[in-house]
Amino acid sequence: MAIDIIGDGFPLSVKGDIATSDGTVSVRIPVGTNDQILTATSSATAGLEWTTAPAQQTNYMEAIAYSFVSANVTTVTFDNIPQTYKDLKLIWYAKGTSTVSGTVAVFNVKPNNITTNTTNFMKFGWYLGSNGTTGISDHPGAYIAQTSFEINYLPDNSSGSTLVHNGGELDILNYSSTSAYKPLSTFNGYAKYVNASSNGYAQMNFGDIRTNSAITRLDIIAGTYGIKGGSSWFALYGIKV
Amino acid sequence: MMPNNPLYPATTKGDIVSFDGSSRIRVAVGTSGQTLRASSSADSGIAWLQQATTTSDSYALISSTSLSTTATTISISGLSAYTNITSGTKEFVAFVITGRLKSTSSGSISNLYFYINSDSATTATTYNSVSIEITPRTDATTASTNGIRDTWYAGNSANGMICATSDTDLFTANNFSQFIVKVYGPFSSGSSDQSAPSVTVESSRIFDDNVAVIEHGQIKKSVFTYNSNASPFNSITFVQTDPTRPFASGCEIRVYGIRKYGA
Repeated sequence: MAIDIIGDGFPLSVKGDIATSDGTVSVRIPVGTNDQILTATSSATAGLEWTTAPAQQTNYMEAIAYSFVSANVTTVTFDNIPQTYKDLKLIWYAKGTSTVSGTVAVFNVKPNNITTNTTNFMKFGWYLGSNGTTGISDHPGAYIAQTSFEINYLPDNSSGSTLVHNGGELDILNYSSTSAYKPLSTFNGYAKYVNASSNGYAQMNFGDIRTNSAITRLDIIAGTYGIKGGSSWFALYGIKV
Repeated sequence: MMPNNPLYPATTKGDIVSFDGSSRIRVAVGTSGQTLRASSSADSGIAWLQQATTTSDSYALISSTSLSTTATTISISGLSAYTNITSGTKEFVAFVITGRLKSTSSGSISNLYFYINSDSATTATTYNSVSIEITPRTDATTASTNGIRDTWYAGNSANGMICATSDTDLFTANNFSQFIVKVYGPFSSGSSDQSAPSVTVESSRIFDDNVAVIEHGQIKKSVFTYNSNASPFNSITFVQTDPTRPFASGCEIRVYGIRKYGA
């Protein structure tokens, strides 16, 4: 009930009251609860009402770390990965150190710095590469004992291909689980020049990290030929659900 | 308005008259974008406050565009304002371009392709790609001969092709082709090897159910190298090469950015 304690037609009586009009007479709008917001509502008597503020947007994807490779290396490490996300996404733009055309760096990701083949990856996928006659190859849909997951190849740094980098992403789902395997998948690759030998590779790989341990560390490893400094980078993101 | 009137202490545009428990009180209007909130700690019991915003989401919509009429191209530009260099203040390390496109009519048409910046060159060393294309073979006559077709696009055609040149009924009026183009970089200009973005494309299309063709759909994954460092990545344009079947009204593309850590 509107209360005009002064008698001038403005009905204010309690801290936070607001006076407005219902179109005919002055009316009092009692203050809402903390953090409610005043909203225009044509169906309300006063045309205004206190309502609950809309929920804040939940971050979908947050950057965990970024590693720019300033000098040639064979390994890039992300350690102490926070366990506060649902999934991980690794994104990169990289090439190898070889200066010999056609010599590529095999490119793997190793979880938790495992050193023996106690963890088996199920790996299934396709890749297309080398040249126009090599075509698509299927990796066997079987468990492969290895300590890391092969992603693809990093292009050489030979004259004429210095601009060519491998770009792509690797998704690791449910990485913080301590009771389930972690599915992972990637699509990435590179291409250079016209139908030449070792022109490039497009690769799709899928698998499981067959451990119940949470993933706390990832190493990106390039084999005989390392990761070229000066332009390569890797970025790790956490995905919230 | 009655300035300095204790019974009605509003003096300025946007003022609100409230009550502090004993007297009427003026609550000055907030700044644009603020919302009026109940706040028991304020003298008046209410306060204008800035809505909290989320700034740490690393996946952000940058721009979008849609066609209100038919057109043979659709593009988004101005992206160099967001691109990342190794020590710069610009914040994105990669872009994700999503889109749905269709033509105004069905039939045998030319390529759908994209080009970067204004570089529509068709030289073999400008755009190179390899592709994994999952589709029925063009010479298939029964479903049993459908299968995977690997394709080696050598950049000797038109820029970044998303769909194969030999296909018929590339689009129909009722079905959109969908695609996700991801562009990774540094994107700085100059002669260093940091300049050329790497591009992956995932696309799919499907025909009308009542179209009597064997080749009724396609899934395709490609990787491209845009082999140029002439200028930083700034725009991407999708082109329908057959002007008699332009993109239809309602086609749209969106560009998202992936922020670098700390940006």
